[in-house]
Amino acid sequence: MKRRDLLIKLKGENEILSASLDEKTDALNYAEALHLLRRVSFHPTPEQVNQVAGKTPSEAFDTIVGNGTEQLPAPTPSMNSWLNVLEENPLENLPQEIRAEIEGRHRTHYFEFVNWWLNNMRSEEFPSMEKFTLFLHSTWCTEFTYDTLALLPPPLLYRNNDTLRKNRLVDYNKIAEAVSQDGAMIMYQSLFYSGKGAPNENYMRELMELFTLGIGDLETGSANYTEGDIREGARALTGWRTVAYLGQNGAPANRPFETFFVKAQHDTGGKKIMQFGQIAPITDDENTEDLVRSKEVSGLIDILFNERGITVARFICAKILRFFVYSDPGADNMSIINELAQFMTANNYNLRKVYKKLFTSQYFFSDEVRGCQIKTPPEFIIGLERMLGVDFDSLQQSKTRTSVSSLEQLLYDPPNVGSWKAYRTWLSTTTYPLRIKYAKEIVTSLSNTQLFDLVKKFPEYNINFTNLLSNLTNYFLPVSLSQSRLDTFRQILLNGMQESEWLSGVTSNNSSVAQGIRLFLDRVIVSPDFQLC
Amino acid sequence: MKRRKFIGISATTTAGILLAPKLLKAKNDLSLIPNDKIQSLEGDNVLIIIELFGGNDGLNTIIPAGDSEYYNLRKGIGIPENLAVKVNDIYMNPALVEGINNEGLKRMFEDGRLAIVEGIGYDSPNMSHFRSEDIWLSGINPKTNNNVRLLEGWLGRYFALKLPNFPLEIPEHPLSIAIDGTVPLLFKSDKGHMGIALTDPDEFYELGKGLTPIDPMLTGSDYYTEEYNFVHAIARQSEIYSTAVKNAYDTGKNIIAGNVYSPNTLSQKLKLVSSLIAGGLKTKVYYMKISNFDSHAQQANADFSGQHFTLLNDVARAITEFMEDAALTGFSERVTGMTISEFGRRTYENGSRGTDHGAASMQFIWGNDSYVNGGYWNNRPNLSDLDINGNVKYQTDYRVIYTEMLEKRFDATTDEITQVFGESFLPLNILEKRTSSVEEYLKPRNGEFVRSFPNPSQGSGVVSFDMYNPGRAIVNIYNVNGKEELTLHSGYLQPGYYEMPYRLNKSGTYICCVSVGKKRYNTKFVVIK
Repeated sequence: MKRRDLLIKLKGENEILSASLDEKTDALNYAEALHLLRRVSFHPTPEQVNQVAGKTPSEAFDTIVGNGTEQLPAPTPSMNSWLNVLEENPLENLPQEIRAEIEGRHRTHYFEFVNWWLNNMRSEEFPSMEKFTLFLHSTWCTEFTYDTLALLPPPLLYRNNDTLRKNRLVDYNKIAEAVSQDGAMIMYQSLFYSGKGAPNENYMRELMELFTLGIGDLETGSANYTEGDIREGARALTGWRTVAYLGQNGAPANRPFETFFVKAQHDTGGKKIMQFGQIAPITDDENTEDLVRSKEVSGLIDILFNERGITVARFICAKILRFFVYSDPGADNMSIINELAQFMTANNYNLRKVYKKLFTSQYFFSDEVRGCQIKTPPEFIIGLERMLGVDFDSLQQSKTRTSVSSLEQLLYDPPNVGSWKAYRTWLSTTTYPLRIKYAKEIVTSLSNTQLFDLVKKFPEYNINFTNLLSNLTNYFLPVSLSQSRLDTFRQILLNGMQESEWLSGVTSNNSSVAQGIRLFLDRVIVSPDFQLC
Repeated sequence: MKRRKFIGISATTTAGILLAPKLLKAKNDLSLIPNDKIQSLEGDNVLIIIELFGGNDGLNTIIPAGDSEYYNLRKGIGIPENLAVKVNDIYMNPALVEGINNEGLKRMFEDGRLAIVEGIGYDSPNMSHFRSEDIWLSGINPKTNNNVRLLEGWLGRYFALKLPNFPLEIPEHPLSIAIDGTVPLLFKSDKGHMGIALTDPDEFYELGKGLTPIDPMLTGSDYYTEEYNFVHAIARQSEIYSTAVKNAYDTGKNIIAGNVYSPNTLSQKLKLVSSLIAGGLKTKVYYMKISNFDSHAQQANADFSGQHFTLLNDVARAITEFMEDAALTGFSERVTGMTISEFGRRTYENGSRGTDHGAASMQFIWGNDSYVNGGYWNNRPNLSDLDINGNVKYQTDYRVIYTEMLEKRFDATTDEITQVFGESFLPLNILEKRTSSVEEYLKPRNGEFVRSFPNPSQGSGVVSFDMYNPGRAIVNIYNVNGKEELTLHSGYLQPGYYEMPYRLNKSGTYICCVSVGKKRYNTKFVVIK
């Protein structure tokens, strides 16, 4: 049954939502192009909007998102100097000064790595891969650490980021396989300590609770798995280690930060997971890295997806909806989640297809979900930098990081394994004033030349003031303004001039015009809707 | 509600799994409620929480000088009896007294203004700083389940109960303030932050200035409008609070006895708190944190000076100075303070003149002598009966103290305590309530409000009481750690005589408590199996 028919049956004709996942086929206007770009990247540059407007959603999606096989951004030369270098484990009994030195280096490298990722976000052109990578990091999060039970040195974090980035558009079960073998995750979720006779249940639980199934059914709340499933699954995942530090017991030589298999620590017995899931016992000959990886790691994930496919799909589609569309979708969007989940299971859990279905749908472009996302800290800071075309040198890059960190989303430092709580927790009487402060600092730093350069990126900027005003407000604020707000912004931008005077002034770089643009931006950043996208 | 169930639900909703219909519906103006008009928060009580982060060494704070085992375990860093400061029959680390006006905590203890509560902790202690700190701040003990996410604070949850329409209806003044860079877990709730963080009122004011949006809230109930109005409310709240804080600070800083404070960081933070209180800010809770208690190495030099001494000295100095100022300025009756720390330290010293992570420890609670029952609470730590990690076992669940704070200072009912912690706890009565009169619900029979028969019992018996005024009654049996063992009744009772049977499986001392309205009636009994 088609979703619409089902809904009519369930709710009656008047109750159904106006928009569905059916494809929107007509070309995107300027505001629609902006909406799409805001949700799949950290805000478009004016040039990117011009590139996308006029395309159909399907064409636009292909242009923006690419196919997932594109070249990835390269590490900086400085990162290359430490990406393969093992250090001693600071948690072991080292003299205090040595320990402090290692921890200091880890911290410096960690910040370099975060700066690098933020810089990728700031400078990315098509295809836009960073938002999709951040979605996976927000889901399968790991955390920089050297002072609790786990040691996660920066080279492992870089490799984790690389894994997520490479896999951002693949089948979701393939992501589960890749991350289950990822060194950072092996350290973070205690697989590193999981051995034969003493399986550690930490990762197996999170694999089901946070990464694939969810703790309970989305609607009824009934349990999706049992403690027995956790125990059995944990046994299947025993024996995996990663080379995390120098002088590590049993670590193979010349494989820094790689995952390896310790045969003696793998539980070769049979495992029974969920109703029909079986992993057969293996012989000693079969207890090898490659066979265990395919039969047990991939085998276990296959069981989850075979036994609970639609549950996984619904859980992941709900996460996708929250992350990209609306963080508090409520019961009235359950039908969209179900429809997308059905599509996901019918398409091998392929994320690119799911994204394309969603981002070309009538639902996605409907008024219902426009402008209703609270910007995350990187969306706010990086987004503003991209809007204004701010080009930072290396010194200022750490300012972006410290800003994002003060706004409570330092990358690879989530509050806990459950990731950032997101949504309204981003804004408080502490973080809101800081957002405004950072935004003001960025706007104040712009020279008049930069202000003119900005305006000159918009079509007809010196011909039609009304069109320019409309494009500017649409570019900076997520939903078209009421006439009275538009009039207010018009007065601010005109800065006491006539329209004709302004239009000739912008060509001749008149300083009153620059002042008008500055005042316009000052007003934009204190508008409540500037926090939304 | 049973604790397990409570945690299950909490974990589910915080993971955002259930797609519940939204509660907050469109309302297009922000309204302010005067703090003293919020139900249960009408009083002017102020709670000060000082977190000693890193894990304070309780055994070197209050010294078990009479216990030879202490000196066996701590051959190098055990504080000798002749160096400790003897007050009544306890021995304090000299850091709590030396160089501090009015003999520091010694005088406060002698005057009955300081309670020292020994053996505070929880079941299945966690030895990670961060996890254990979260356990302390959230008021949830997930025991061995490391997967339970602790995303809300106990005060955040309690205040959220009092503010059903937050954030569109907010208190005029922030309910709680952290003198810190970020809002602690303690103040977080599922509705948002029930408090703010600041270190400098002038800077906070500058940041908040002009944030009230020029455009009005929108009308409508679509997603965009709801989020727009949420941002609008936060923006306005930022300016309202920054102005309220600044006004109080500017008035208060000229009223207080500012010259009693030393330049130490903690003293200066409390000086700021004092200015805000004296300046009329109606904030209920102030929180601050002093770090570096993680004394793995060189916690004490050969002469027993050193890191731990300095930290304790700072804490004792700050508390003493603050209470001196409070008395001079005239708000000492209103304030109650407590220290918290994620754990104590290992009973035995390690090889580097330090101690590793421990479990149960001691807590300071202080205030005005009319409202704090000063003295030494609970038993001395038993150094011959340690847990498997060589740590002190706990005697009283840490939430017993929180329950005491919520009941005696913020008028919480047993029902609300259960909503906040998922279970209820029995206060030790370290605090006296600051209210004129509380309605009686039970009448005594032979001088006792609640009776338990037989006593001692062999595991089954009957508790009885006379209900004199009708009301919602909760009849719980608690163990000696203050934790709930059984609920015999929870619901409305008419006047009359009631008998309720119980069955308990373990020998021990128990307390039966009948809570009605805001009043508790207790009786103690013994089970011998």
